[in-house]
Amino acid sequence: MTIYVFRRLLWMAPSLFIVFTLTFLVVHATPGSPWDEREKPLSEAVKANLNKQYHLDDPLPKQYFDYLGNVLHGDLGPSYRSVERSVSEIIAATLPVSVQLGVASLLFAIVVGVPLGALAAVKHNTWIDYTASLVTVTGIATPAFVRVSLLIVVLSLGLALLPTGGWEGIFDVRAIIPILAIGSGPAAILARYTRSSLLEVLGQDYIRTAHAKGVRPNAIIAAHAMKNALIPVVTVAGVTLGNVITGAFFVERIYGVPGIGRQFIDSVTGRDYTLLLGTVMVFALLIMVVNLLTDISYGYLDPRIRYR
Amino acid sequence: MRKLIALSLLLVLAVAACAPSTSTGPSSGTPAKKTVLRLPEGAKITNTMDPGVSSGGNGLEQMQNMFEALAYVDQVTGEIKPGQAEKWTISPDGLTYTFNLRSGLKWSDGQPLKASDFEYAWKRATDPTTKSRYAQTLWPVKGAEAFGTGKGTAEGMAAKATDDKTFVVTLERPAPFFMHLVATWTAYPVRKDMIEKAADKWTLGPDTYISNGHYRLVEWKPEQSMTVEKNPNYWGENNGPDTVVWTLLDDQAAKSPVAYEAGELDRAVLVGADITRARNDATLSKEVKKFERQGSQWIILDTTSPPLNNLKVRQALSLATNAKQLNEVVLKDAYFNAVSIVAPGVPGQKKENALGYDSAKAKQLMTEAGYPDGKGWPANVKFTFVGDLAQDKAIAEAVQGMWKSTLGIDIVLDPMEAKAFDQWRSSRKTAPFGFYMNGWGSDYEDPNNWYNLLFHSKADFYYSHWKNAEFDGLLDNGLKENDATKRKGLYENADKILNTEAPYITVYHWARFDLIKPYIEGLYHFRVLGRVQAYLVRVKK
Repeated sequence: MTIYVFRRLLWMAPSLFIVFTLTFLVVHATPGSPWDEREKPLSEAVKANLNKQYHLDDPLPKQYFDYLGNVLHGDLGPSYRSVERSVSEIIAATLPVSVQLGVASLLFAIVVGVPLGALAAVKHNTWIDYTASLVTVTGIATPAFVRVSLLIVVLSLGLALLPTGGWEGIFDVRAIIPILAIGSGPAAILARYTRSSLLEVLGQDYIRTAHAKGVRPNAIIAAHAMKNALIPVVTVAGVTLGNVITGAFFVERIYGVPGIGRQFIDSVTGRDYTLLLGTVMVFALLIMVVNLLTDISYGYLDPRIRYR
Repeated sequence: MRKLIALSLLLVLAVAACAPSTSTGPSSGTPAKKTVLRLPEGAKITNTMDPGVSSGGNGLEQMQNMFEALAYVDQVTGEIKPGQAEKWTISPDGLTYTFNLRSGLKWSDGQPLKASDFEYAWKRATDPTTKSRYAQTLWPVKGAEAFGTGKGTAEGMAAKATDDKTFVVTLERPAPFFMHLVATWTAYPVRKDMIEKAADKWTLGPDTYISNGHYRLVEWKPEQSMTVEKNPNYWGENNGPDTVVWTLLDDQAAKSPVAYEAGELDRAVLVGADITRARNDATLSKEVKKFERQGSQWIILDTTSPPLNNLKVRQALSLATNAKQLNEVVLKDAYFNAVSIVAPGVPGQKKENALGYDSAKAKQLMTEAGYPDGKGWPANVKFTFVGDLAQDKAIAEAVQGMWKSTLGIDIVLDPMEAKAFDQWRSSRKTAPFGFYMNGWGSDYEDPNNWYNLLFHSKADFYYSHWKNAEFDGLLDNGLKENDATKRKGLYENADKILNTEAPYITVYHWARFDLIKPYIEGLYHFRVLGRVQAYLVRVKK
């Protein structure tokens, strides 16, 4: 197990290197530069000076190796469009916000999605099942930016219960709309998977044996069925992280949450090369770590799984 | 799993328990007598809050409220008024400006403000290693361009504090618009000790972001909000609100009306369909305000490739463009009807110079040019625009229809993706085209900012490839003329040539739409730059 984890961690380095190189090439192949302003173009002399000062007039291979060297020393460079903060500082300020929001959204998804799916499975082919299906299919079908807009219209403008945007930490009322908007998508996915997985498990022989032994139905589901039914669900939970991240891009932007997803979008539209590379690396690392955690958690849920 | 569920339940409960019963943000009630003005601003401050480095954009409004230059532009009349300088004198040759600072000037932390602070700020902004996005602002100063391009030194730049209250500037050549540059944010004084202490990070907090204007920084939460309070050390009076809070929004036009309607903001930015919606709403219609913005939106013509190299064709197209209908019907009166190529108010612009709308004359000119009822018109004259912009698309389609029905000609619409359009546009410097759409707004209200910068054949900012020796000559003389009346006359003659030659067809002049709460008085956007000056605003609540 330890060796397995160690090997997986070792593999992350070359993966990150490939992500870094590909992103570097793609951003420099994209038209435009950090100094392009649509409304008021900067003067040519100013652009030339900025290119010189930031070494953007160096040949591309030199830029690549210089930058790679800096990154290896832990320096992600200056942001071209936020003079006062370096890329590392921007990530340090925004990543914790996104992680809090992401964790809270995932928890919300689990707390709502798994019981909802289980309920639908136990009461399957009843009106409860059909209602749950309707809710979950709607949740899967609507993108996060539609959900957040709807929530703002209903909860902020219509019912005047919550502010229309902003962020004061995860324990403030302002966190409710983003959590609901991001979390409801994965919650719907989890509910669907829990339902089908639990239905399959409930049809198996050992469940019938448990019934025959006179175990109470609730205990059968909680103690016998759920544990096996959750393996595919955990896999999906890991994958839904991608869902959470992409949902966060738009939700953070629309609701004004100072997270890293917003920085990612700004860095793409602003051609802020260094910030874009920094955020991409963070997302890549995040996804690798979560995939590893998902794999490790299998072992606890199912003793039959062995790591080599 | 059960642990996980318990943990998450606990978290949800904690969220609920910790949530304050009333919101604590800028939307909450304020203590008696303390007045707060709540405004929107774009989330991403454009590059920096450092006036010497900034190119304006998001953050300009905040800098204008916190800093003051030697002189400022009156936000109602447009006149240049004394700011940190009490008065100034200009030598008869128009080359040497001597500024006398007011007595007892202080920074917001109480330290005395001296002429040497201006010398430091001006040279710093020009220094290439400062990486200023607007360094060229001060290039008319003698030796500044050389210093800025690495060929000269700071000592060689003729901006000098001769004592604590006197600042003397010598120009490379006369520049009648120089006082407008003196009033620009690039020329604000900045604090040497703070910049040396905190480097690029001096703008981040109130301890180092020391200013000299009506307000001073309280807090800047990047991409969230910026709060300022009255600066007790400002030399003049300030009867504006005690505090100004800007909520930083990613998409002001989409988000600010929502926050405004929820009572979180005192001003909202309106564009497009929201203007019509607000005008038709019983409450909001009383809160909609329309302001003039000194800018023009044009169809730009390639004057060197056929058939647009024919003057009569260009005039016919201009005369056949019904600008009134474009603004009032197609764009639902979201702008001001086109008057002439240069926006009204710029010295030199005269509405009598414009060709106007005259379909009969347009037809006649087209016939004279050899295309009676569009016969013989080439098949592939393209009109290029950004296809994602619904408005540009609507204009292109409307103009296509107008020219078809009046002149009988067919043009090809050529929508492009935004970034592709930017690239295509930059390559027009040497490549031929038909028509495309673009616009310009004043940085300062002077003919130099339009005629010389955009239309002079050496500048050819929009690549219309239009050249006229007489026009260029008038502009060259206008740049040197120190007598305001004579200078205006020169530009009026140039304006006549420009409009007659029709390298551009004006679609509309820019406008700005706001929603402003009824308890807010004096919130006004001047036609140039037009940022909110909080000291002029009264919050009657």
